[in-house]
Amino acid sequence: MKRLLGLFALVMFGLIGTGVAQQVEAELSQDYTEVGQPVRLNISVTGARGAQVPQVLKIDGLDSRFIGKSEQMQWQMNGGRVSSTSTSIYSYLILPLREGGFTIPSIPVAVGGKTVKTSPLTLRVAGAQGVPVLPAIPVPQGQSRRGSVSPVPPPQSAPPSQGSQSDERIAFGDLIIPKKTLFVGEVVPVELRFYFNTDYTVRLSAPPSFSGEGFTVLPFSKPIEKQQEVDGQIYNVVIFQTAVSAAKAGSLEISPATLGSEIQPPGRVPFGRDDFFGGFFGNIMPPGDVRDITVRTQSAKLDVKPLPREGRSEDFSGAVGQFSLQASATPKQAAAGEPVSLKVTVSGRGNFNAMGSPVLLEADGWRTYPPGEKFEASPSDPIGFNGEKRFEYMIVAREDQSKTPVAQLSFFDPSLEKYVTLKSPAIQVAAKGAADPPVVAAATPAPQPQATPSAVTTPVQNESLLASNFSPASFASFAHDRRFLITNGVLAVAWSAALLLGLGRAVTVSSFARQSAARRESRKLLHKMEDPGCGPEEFFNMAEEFVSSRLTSNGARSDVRELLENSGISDDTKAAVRAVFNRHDERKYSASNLQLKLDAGERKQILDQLKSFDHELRG
Amino acid sequence: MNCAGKLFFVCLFFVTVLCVHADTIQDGNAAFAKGDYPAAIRAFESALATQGSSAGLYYNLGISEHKNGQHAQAAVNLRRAIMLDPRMVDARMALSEIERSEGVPSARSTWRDFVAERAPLKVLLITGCVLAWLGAFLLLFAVFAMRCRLLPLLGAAGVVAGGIGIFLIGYVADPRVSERDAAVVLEKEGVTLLSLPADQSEVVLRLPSAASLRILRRSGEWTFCSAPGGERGWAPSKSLEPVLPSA
Repeated sequence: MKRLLGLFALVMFGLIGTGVAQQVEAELSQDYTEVGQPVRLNISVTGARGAQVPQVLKIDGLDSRFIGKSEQMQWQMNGGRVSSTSTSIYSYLILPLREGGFTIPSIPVAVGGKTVKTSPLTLRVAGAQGVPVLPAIPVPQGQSRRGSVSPVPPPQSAPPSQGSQSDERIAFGDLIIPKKTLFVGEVVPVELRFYFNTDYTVRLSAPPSFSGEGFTVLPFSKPIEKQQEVDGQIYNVVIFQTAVSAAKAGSLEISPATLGSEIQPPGRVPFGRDDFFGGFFGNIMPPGDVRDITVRTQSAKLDVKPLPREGRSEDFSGAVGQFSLQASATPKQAAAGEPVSLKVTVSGRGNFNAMGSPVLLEADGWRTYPPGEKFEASPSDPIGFNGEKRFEYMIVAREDQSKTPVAQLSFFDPSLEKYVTLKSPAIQVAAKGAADPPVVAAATPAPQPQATPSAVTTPVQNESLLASNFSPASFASFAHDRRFLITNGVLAVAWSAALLLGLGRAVTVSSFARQSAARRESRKLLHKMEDPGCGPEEFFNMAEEFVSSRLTSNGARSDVRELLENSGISDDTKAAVRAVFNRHDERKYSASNLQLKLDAGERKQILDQLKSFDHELRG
Repeated sequence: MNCAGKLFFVCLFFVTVLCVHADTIQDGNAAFAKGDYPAAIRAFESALATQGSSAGLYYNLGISEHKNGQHAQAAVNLRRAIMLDPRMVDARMALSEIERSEGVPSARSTWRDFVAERAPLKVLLITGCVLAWLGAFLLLFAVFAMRCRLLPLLGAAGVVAGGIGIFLIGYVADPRVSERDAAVVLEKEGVTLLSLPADQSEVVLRLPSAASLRILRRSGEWTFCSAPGGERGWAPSKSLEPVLPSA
C-alpha cells in the first residue's frame, strides 16, 4: 500500500509543474483620487514565493503603509499536465496628503535572490471635497495575515453592535467607503470590518448581509483575518471586501451590513485551540454557553450624482470607469466568405457588467455579427471590478477590404467627470469580398452612397437592398418530409428483407442443419428396412447406406469400415455391424451368385443392432 | 370540352397566378424604394398569403416593418426568414440591429447556430441518411458474406455511426426543430414574466420588446415561457407572437 501511495505521489509530482516564469507587477486600484481618500497599491508576484517588499514607501505628499499579503493559487491542465501558478499580492494603502500629480517610483522586490523593480505608476490627486475617510480606517502597521497586535486608534465610525452594553465589548462592525460622492454606475470599493473580542470564541455562520435599494453590490472577496488593538482591547478582525454601484441619482442611504455569528464566553477555549481564526466558518462550536449575535456596521450616506447629458455619445451604453481599448484581427488574409475575427479588448476598472459592446465604425463593406464577450478579472483584484473584457466580432467582407472596421467605445470617466470616446485603429487585412445573397431588386434604384459613412454604426441596412429569391420553403424540417420518410421506409424494408435472407441462408448452411438432415434421411432408411416387402438385397444395401450415412453425417467422404473402427461405439455393436457388412460382401463378391436369404427373426435382429448403433452414436 | 382544352385552361390559370404574384412582389419592392413602407408591408403580406412561405418574402416584410417602426413584428418575420433559410446572413444582421436598438441582450451563440449558419442542413440530413443506410447494408454484407471479419464489421459500424451523427447534427441544428417553440415579445413596452398566471403575482423578469423566449405551455390567456437566461414565468399570450406561423 505504501509503495502504491509512493508511486502515486511520484506520478503526481511528475505531472505537476510550476512552469510559470517569475513576474512582478504593480497596480493601483485607482489612477485618480482626492486628498484624504486612500487608494490601494497591489504588487503581484507570480511564480515565486517568499518575496520581500519594503514596509514603507517614501513618497513626498503620499502616506503609504503596508497592509498585508495574500496568496492565490491557480491550477491549469495543459495536455494532461497540471501546472500551478502561485501569486502573492502585497498591498499598500496610499493616502494622498496634498493635491497634484504623483509618480510612485519603481519598487524593489527581492525574489529568489534577485531584485526586480516594478514599473513606475502615476497617481493624480484632486483637492479634498469630502471628509477624509482614512482616519476612520484603522490600519495596523506591518502586520501579516495573522499579524501581531497593533495599537491603532479606535474606529471613529464604528458603532456598537446591537444588543446589550456588554455586546459592545464583544463585537462591533465598521463600514468603510472611501468615496462619499460618486456618479450613477460608478463602482466604489467597500470594506466591511467586523471586530470580535479575542476573549470570546467565535464562529461565523454565513457571509455578511449587505444589500439595499438603489445600489448593487458585487460579490464579496475571500475574507481577510487579522488581529488589532482598539482602545487597549485586542480584537480579531474579519474583513470582507466588495464594491457598490449606485443605480440612481440622489442621496443614497446605505443600510448597515450585518454578520450573524455564534460566540462563547471566555474560559471555554475548545479542545486546546486558542486561536480565533480556527473557529471561523464552519468549525463546530464546543458544547456550552453558545449565544447567537448579529454584528452590525454603521450606515452610510452617499451623494450620487447623475451622469451629465452634455457630451454623451449616442453609442454610450452605460460604462462608467477608466478604460483603455485595444484591437487585433486574425487572419490577416481571408478568402471570399471567410470570416475575420476582430478581437476588441477593453481593460481598466469600472462597471464591466453594464458595459455594452463597442460599436464598429466604417463597417459598410463588412457583414458583422453581435460579438461574443468574456470578462476576466485582474488577479490582484479580489472583488472583480478591475480586469479586461474581450469582445470577439466575426466579420465577413462584402467586397474586397484592406482594413478592418474601427471599434469605438464611449464611457463616462468619473475622475475627469466627462465622457470619453476611445477608438481602436483600423487593422490592415486583405479580405476578399463575398457576393451578397440578396441582390438589388429590379424595380429599385441603385444604392445611394452613405452621407457620412464614418459615422455609421454597424450593421446598417441599405434601403435599396431587398431579397430577390422567393423560392418556396416549408416550416417543417426536411426530416419530416413525406418523400424523405417514404424513401427511408423503403430502405428499411429492403434492409429487413436482406437481414432475413441472410439469416435464412445462415441457418440452412449450418453444420447443425446438415446433421439434422442426415439424421432424418437415415431414419427414413430404417423405416424402409422394417418393411417386410423389402428384399434381402435391398435390405443389406440400405443397411450399409444407413451405417455410412450415420458415420459420415458431416459430409466427409471416407471408407465406412475405417470410420466404423474409429468410431466410439462399443465393440459388440461394431462386431454386429461388421457382420452385416460381411454378409453383404459375401453376396456381392460371391462367384456362385447365390441368393441371399433373410428370415424375419434375422431381419429383426439386424434392425435392432442398427438401432442400437444409431442410439450409441446419438448418445 | 376535350382533354387538350382542360389542360389549356389549367395552364392559363397557373400563368395568371404567377403573373399576379410577380406583380405583387414588384409592387412591394417599388413601394419600399419610394419609402412607402406600409404599402410595401401590405404587398409582401399579400404575396406571402398567395404564394406561401419564402425566406425572401419574410425578409422583405421584416425589413419593411423595421423601416416602418414595427420593430417587434419585424423581429418575428426576420426570425421566420432565418428559420426558413438559416444561412441568410442579411436577415441575421437586420435582426441583430433590431435587438440592439430595443435593448435586447445579445444571446450567446450556440453550436447549433454555428452549424446552421455555415452548413446546408438539407445536405447534412441527406448525406447522414445515405451514409447510415450504406453502412447498414455493408454491415449485413460483413456479417453474412464475410463471416463477421472484424475489420469490415468495424468499418461498416463506423459508417453507420458517422451517418447517424451527421443526420442528428443536421436535424438538431435546424431552427425549424430547435426554434419551434420560440416566440417574440410584441409589446412596445416589453413584457413582464410573472411567477403565476395572475396580474398581481411576483415579477420574475422584465423582457424588452423584440426579445425572444421559448413557449413551454399555454393556459388560457397566459403562456408559460422560458427566457434566454433560463428564467421561467407567465406572460400574457397576447403580448407574444410565435415565430412559427399558425397554420
